[in-house]
Amino acid sequence: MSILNKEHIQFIDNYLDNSNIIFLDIRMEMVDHVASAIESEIKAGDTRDFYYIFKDYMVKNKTILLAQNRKFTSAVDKAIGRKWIINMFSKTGLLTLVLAFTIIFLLNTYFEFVNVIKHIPLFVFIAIVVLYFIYIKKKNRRYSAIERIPFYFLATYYITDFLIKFGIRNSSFFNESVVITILISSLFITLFVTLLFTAYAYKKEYDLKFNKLS
Amino acid sequence: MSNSKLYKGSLNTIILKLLNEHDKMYGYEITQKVKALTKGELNITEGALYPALHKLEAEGLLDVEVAKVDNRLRKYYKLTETGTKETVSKLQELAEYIKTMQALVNPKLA
Repeated sequence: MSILNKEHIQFIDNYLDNSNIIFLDIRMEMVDHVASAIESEIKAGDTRDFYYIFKDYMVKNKTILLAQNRKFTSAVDKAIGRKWIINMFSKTGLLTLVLAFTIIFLLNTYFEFVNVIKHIPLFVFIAIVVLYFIYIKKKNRRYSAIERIPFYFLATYYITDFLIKFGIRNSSFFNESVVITILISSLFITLFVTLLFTAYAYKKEYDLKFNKLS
Repeated sequence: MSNSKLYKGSLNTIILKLLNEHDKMYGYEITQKVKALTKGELNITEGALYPALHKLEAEGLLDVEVAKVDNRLRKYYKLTETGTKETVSKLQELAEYIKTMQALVNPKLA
């Protein structure tokens, strides 16, 4: 039999949400921990009202709980990186690279748009940003991994942009070789697409874990 | 965590060992189990436990299962196949460490 009712749990959840623990996947574990600790106190014979026990617990543990929130974000970043690398070297990742290369190569053969190729990462980036904002507008719940992924998108884009502007443009070898320019653009498309797959995999995972249960 | 910094380096091994003995456990349960097993000597704080659990999860050693329990969602951790293998290796490592320390601190017992 549960000791804390729905209102108590909601109270803990709101308190943590207002304490800037905005991501549901992080908060729900903290809510369970705080609720379990309070229930343990009550079982041990504390007859005070829930709010007094909660207040005492928070006075004692709030700093530790909030510090844990920051460490979680760093663990999430590492997990995203790991999944992204796995996706890049998966069959889908390699197929994306081959497809991107083939399509750009064929288009260039027929239409000769070598100057446009250099801007392909920018087009892909804009498309992804638009998709991301549509997603943000639609969803109500905030999950850590999904909201950390844009940092990877940004980092990839800026590295791409830097390479193209300062590296590739200054090198006569790259400028003269259309194939290499196509290959680099294809590589960046693959990085973006596999990151998108990673975001989608996280979304599916979160939906499976949280949406069906709550 | 704990009363001594000496335990800090063994936190991951402690978590892996407990999960190896139980099918699945949640955070608060782990802290209470450690407290009970060590008769209150070792008190793992949430500030040390959860980052360690999340790191082990990110490394692919732990798998996560979410269930609705007592009006709230609960995150259960369990060992993955890699995690089970890593537990064996970590425990061996710890046993070697204890043996070495024993030889240094109390040579008669080693």
